[in-house]
Amino acid sequence: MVAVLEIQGLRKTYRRRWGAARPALDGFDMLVESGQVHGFLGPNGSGKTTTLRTLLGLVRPNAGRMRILGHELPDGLPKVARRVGAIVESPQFFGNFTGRRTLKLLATAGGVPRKRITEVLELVGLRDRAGERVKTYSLGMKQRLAVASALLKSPELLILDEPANGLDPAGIREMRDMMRGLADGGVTVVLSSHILNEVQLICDSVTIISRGRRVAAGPVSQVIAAQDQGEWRVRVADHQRAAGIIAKSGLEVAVHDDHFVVSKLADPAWLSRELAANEMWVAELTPLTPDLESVFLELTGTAPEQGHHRQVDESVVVGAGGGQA
Amino acid sequence: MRVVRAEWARFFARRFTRIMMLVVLGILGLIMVGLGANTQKPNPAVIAQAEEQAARARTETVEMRQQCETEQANAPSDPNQSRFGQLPPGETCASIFNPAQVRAEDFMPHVFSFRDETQDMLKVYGGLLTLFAFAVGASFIGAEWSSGGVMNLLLWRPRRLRLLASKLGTLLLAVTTAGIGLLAVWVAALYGLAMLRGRIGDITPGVVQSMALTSARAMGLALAAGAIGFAVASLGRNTATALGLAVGYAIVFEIGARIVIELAEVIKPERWFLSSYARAWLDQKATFYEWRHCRYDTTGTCSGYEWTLNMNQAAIVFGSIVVLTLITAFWVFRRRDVT
Repeated sequence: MVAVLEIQGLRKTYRRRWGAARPALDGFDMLVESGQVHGFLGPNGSGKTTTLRTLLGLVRPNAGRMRILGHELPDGLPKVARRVGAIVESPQFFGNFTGRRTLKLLATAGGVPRKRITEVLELVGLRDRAGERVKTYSLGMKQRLAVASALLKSPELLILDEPANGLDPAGIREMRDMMRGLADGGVTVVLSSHILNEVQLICDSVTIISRGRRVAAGPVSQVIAAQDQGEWRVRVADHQRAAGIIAKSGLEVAVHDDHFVVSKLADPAWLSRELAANEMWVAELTPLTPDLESVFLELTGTAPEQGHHRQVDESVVVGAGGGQA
Repeated sequence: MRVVRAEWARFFARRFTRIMMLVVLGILGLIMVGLGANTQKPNPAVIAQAEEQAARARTETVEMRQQCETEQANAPSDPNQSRFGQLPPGETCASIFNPAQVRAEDFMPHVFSFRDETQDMLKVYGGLLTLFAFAVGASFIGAEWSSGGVMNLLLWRPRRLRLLASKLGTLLLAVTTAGIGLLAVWVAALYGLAMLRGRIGDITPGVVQSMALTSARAMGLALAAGAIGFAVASLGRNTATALGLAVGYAIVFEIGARIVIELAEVIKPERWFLSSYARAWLDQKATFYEWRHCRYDTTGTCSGYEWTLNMNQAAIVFGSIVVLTLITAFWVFRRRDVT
């Protein structure tokens, strides 16, 4: 696989006129391979948008190396800008222009043929509303227009920051299908999103960032598998007694209201036999495979805790370089 | 060139530009109505009446001259007994009471003269175009900053200095085009008014050249204002910064500081205000009278004196402001994080 996007040791500190400087990226690494849909995940304020802005030349990094499509950034950005489509954060457009005029102006500036405007409007579902002023658009429609503007260039690398923001369920589904279709057609998609079940569904690989550093990266299945504790949920009639029996064998057991969860269970048949030997019959024995959301919360340390109001900067800090799944 | 084409289309598609053009046209239209209401093409009866009044006045002027000459020849010992008093240096009774200077036009209702009044009307146009250019210049980049347009453009055109230069160049080109269009409308309207309700006058090549130079200076001032508005709005990342600065300058400095400076009896206070230089630029020179600090002449009399600002000084002042604000705006734009 060819690396389309490479970041090594990226650092960015926002200096404030008053008060202390705030590091947004602290030696961040990232690798995205060609033709993938790559999820870029992180809690609020973890440095996702700063990373994307830095890649796109909007923010100047303090240190680190970046390459896109084989070109060193930021010096090579003018050469690759035509091949990179992007939307960053919430879409912003001139409210008094129509959707079509907005795209037309961008197309003129970028030397894109006019027929491409109609194509992308069709693709994002704005064909019939393209003649209306952007200020009359809903958030979801603005989001679609932003995606359309990113697609205008027929990019090889598409960077989307929260593209599903404001979309209705059907729109989210369409966006997912569109991204998958683009990736199947050879476009590499970097998707920053907080809708983790969507990411799990469409992404081939992910990078998770926390406090400006990478905490995990790799194929989605591997990142999830790395966090798999071999947990099983067990339901029996007297689950407290059953949990005691299993705990005596040295396994970790967590008792809940009507079931218990056993960790690091290598052989579920053994558990069934052990309880049967004590005349206890298993009603449910389910593997608790983690999903991307639970892995994300675990890795970033942002799982909600009862009675604690987590602040935006309260997330995991890892050693420089971060973890690789 | 593509960016210029896109920005050109953006400039004229913007509602603010269109509204501002309508406002300028509206104000020029109101001035035209005012001019039209105060001018009247003289009919034969009016001309005849004016000729009659002028003839009477000429006769009276001749009589006055004769009385004056008689009195001067007799040289009264007491000047208080003299009807005409001591004549100003270099003047004679014949030069003061000259019947050739009495014209029938002086006895007619005001007649708009294209030849004599267009110069002033071009300066009015220059002032309006300057305000227009400053506002649309500020809005052209300021609204782009606040609407996210600058970021969108940078995603397509990451060479920042080239992008900003393209936008500025497009702005100046568009203001020039709009200015020429407005100028054509304005001059045509004045000419039409002169034909219908006034008089054209003798349009010599010199008059045309003078009008052309005044128009060019008006355009130059407008372009400078557009560039300054653009630079300030780019620095502040919104239109309001530039408009606020302009309004603030007008109120705090042109009005407030003028009062303070005058109270402090600062010598030649007008040299501290941009409006003086604007006047000097449009009129080629602006003359002021310094009455606070007198100069003593050879007889020991202390009197005020005239001093002038010329268009070269005005060019230096406005040129310096343009260069300074643009260099700062480009330097900041090149380095700034777009967040």
